[in-house]
Amino acid sequence: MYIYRSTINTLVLILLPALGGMWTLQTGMLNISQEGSMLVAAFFAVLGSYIFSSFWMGLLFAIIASLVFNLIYAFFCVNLRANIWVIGMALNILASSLTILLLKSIFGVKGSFTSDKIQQIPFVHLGNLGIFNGIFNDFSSIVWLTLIIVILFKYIDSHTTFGFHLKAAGKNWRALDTAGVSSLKVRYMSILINAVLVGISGAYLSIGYLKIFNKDMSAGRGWIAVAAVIFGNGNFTWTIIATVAFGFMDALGISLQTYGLNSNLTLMFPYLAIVAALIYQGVKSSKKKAIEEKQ
Amino acid sequence: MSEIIRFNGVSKKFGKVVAVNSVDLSIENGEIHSIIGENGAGKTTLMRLLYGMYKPNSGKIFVRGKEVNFSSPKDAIDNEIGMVHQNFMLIDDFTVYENVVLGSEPHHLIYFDREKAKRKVEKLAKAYNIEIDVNDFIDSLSVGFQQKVEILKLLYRNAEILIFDEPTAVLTYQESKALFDTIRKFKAAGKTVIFISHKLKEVKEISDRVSVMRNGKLLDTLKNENLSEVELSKMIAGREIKNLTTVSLKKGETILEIDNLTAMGDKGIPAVKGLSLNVSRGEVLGIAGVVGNGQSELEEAIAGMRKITSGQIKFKGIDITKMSVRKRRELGMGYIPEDRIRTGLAPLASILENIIMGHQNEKEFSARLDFMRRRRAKRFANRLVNEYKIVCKSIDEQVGTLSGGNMQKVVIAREFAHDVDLLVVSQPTRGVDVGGIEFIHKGILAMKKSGKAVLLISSDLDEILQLSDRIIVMYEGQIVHSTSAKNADVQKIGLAMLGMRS
Repeated sequence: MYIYRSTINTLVLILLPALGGMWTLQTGMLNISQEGSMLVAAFFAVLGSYIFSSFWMGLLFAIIASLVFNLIYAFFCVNLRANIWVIGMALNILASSLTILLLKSIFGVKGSFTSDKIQQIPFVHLGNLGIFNGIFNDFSSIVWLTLIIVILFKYIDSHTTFGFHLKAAGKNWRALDTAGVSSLKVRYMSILINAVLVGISGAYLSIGYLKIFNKDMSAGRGWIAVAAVIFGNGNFTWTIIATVAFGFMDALGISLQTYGLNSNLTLMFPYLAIVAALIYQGVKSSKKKAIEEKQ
Repeated sequence: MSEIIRFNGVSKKFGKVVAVNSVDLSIENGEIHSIIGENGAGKTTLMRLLYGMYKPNSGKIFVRGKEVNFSSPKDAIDNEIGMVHQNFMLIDDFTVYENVVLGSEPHHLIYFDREKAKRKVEKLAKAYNIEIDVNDFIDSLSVGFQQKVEILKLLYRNAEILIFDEPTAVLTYQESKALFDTIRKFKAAGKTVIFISHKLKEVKEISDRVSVMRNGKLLDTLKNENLSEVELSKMIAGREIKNLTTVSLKKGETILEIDNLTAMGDKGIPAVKGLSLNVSRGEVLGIAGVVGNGQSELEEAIAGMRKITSGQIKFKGIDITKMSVRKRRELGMGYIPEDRIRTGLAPLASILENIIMGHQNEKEFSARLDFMRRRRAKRFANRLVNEYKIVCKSIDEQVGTLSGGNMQKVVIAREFAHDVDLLVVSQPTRGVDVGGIEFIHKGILAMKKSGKAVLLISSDLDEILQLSDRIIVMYEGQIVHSTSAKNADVQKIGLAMLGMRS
C-alpha cells in the first residue's frame, strides 16, 4: 500500500510534463527544458503561496513562471530555429542557479526554505470508504486533477481537429501551412499547454505534499518525463506506459530504502529502467532509420 | 471573357536575388494559362505569391478586380485559389481522406468527424471519376495517385482557380494524358487553370494562352494558336536551343555485362529480380521506368554501393561482383548517382575536394606519402569550374552552399572529366534548367562518340528517347520492354512503365 501511494504521488509529478511533452514532440519539438521549468515553477509556487498565504496564488505564480520559461524556449527553438539541446540545457542550468540566487536574495536562506505562511494545496478526503480508504482517500487534489487531464488528453489526442493538427505539424509542417493552418501557432499552443502542465507539476512538488523549497528539488523528475516522452514517441498509450513504469521504479527505489537497501543503489532504479527502455527502443528505431535513410 | 487575376508590377526579392522582377500579368476567367520558363525563371515564386506563401516586396495582386494582400495560404484558399505543388504537400503516414480534409476538417466544436470526412472525400472522388480508396496511406500510393490526392484537396476546398506547378514532371506518358483530360474537365466546368511547365510540347497541347518568363521577368503573353515551338524555345532560353540528334555508331566491344542479377531493396524485399543486360562501347543504353521500380538498386549494385543476392556483374570482361567501389572506379567506371547531394557530394567539403574526390590516389594528384599535390589539383578544379560554368566565389567554397543546379554541375564535371570506360548516370537532369540540360545531354553524347559506354537511368522519357541507342523499361525489378531507339513506340513504353505488357 505504501508503494502504491508513493507511486501515485511521484507519478503525478512525471505524468503532467510527460503529457505536455508528448504534444510538443508530436509537433516536432522535443522539449528538454522540463526539469528547469519544473524547478522554477516549484520555487514560484512557494513564493506566491508565501506572499499571499494562498495556494491558489502559489499555483498561479508557478504557472506564470513556467509560461515565461517555456516562451523563452519557444522563441529560440520555434522562431529562431535554434538547437533544442543547446537551449534546453541552457535553460536547465539557468533554472538551477536562478532558484538558488532568488532563494538567497528574497528569503535570505541557503539551500532550503519553508514557512508556516505557505499554504499547501488541499487534500481530498472522500469520507470513510472502508477498505478503499487507502486506495482513494487523502490524495492531493492535484492527483484528481491529473486524472481528469489524462482523460481529457486522450480524447483531444485522438478525436479532435487540434490533436490531428499537432501530428500534422510534426510530420510535415509545410503540408499543414499550405492547407491554411499555421504550424507556428500549433507549435506555440502545444508549448503553452505544456507550460501550464509543468507549472502545476512544479507547484505540486513544492506545495503539494510538503511546504518547502529545496535547491534542485526536482531531482531528475523532469528528465524522467523527457525519457518517457522519447520512449512514447508521441503515442499516447506508450507515453503513459513508460511514465507509469518509470514512476513506479522511482517510488520503489525510495521505498526500498526503508527496508535498509543502500540508497545510492536504489536511487538508480528509475534511471536503470530508462536506460534499458531507451536502449531497446534505440535499437529498434535505428534499424528503421537505416532503412528510411537509404531510400 | 473577364479578367480574374491581375499582377501589377509585382516583385519579390530573396536577399539580393530578385526572383520576380516587376511582373505584369493578366489571367482570364475560365482559361488554361501556361507559364513557361527555365528552372529559376521565377514561375514558382510568382505562383507562391498568388497562393499567399510569400509576400511581394512591391506591386499589387488583384483577384476578381479586388486588391488582395494575402498573409498566408489560408487567405488564398478563402479566395478559392488552390495549388498543386511540385513537391507534394502530403503527409506520408496519413490516409488519403486525412490529407484531403487537413485544415478544413468536418467538425462539431472540437470533435473531428472522421466518418463524415471519409464520406465527403469518397463522394468528391466519385464525382470526378478518381478511383481511390480514401483509407489508403499516402506512402502506399504511386506518384500519379498522390497527385490525384493533391487535386482532391483543391476540389474539397472548392477552388475555382487551380495552379499546377510542373505537374507532369513525375508522371508517365499515360498519366500525363489523363491529367490533361482532368484539366480540360476543369475548364469545361468553368474553372481557371494556371499551368506551370518547362516542356514546350505540353504547353502547346493544353493551353489557351502562354506567358514566358526568364530571369524573373515576364517577357510576353501570347495566344497558343499563333505559337511555334521553335519560337517559344528561343524566347525561353534567350537563345536558340538545338534539338540534339544522336547518331548510332558501330557497336564496339561489350563493356558491361550483367547476368541474372538479384538485389534486395532497403525493406528486405527483392528490388531487382534476375535482370540481365549489357552495354557496349559507343552505345547509350537507356533505362526507363517509374521511380521506385528497382532502378536505384540496380544503379547502386553496379556502382558497388549495394550487395547483391545472386548473379554476376562483369566489367571489361572482369568479374567485379565482389569488388569494392574504389576498385571499380580504378578500373574505369564513372558514376553520377541519383541523389547528388547525399551520395554524389560531401556538402561540407570544398569544391576542390569534391572535384578531386575519388581520384585523390591517382599519380596526378597524389605525391609521396599520400600528400595531395595541391597546385595541380587547384589548376584542375579551376579549369573545370570555368569549363562547366559553375557559379561560385572560389574553388575553396563549400559545395553545400551552392545552388542545386551548380552542385549537380560539380558532380557532372568530376565524372565527365576523368577518363572512364563506362558511365553510369542516373536522373542527370532532374532539377536542372533548359540550358543546363542541353549541356549535360551534349556531354553524354560526347562520351558515347569517344567510344565510351553509357548506362542512362532516367524517369524522364523524353530524355531517354533523345539520347539512347537502345531502351529498356524496368517495372518491379524486371525488364518488361526492350527496343531499339529507332523503333521505339512511346505508347508501348508508357504502358510498359505502368506494368502493362503489350
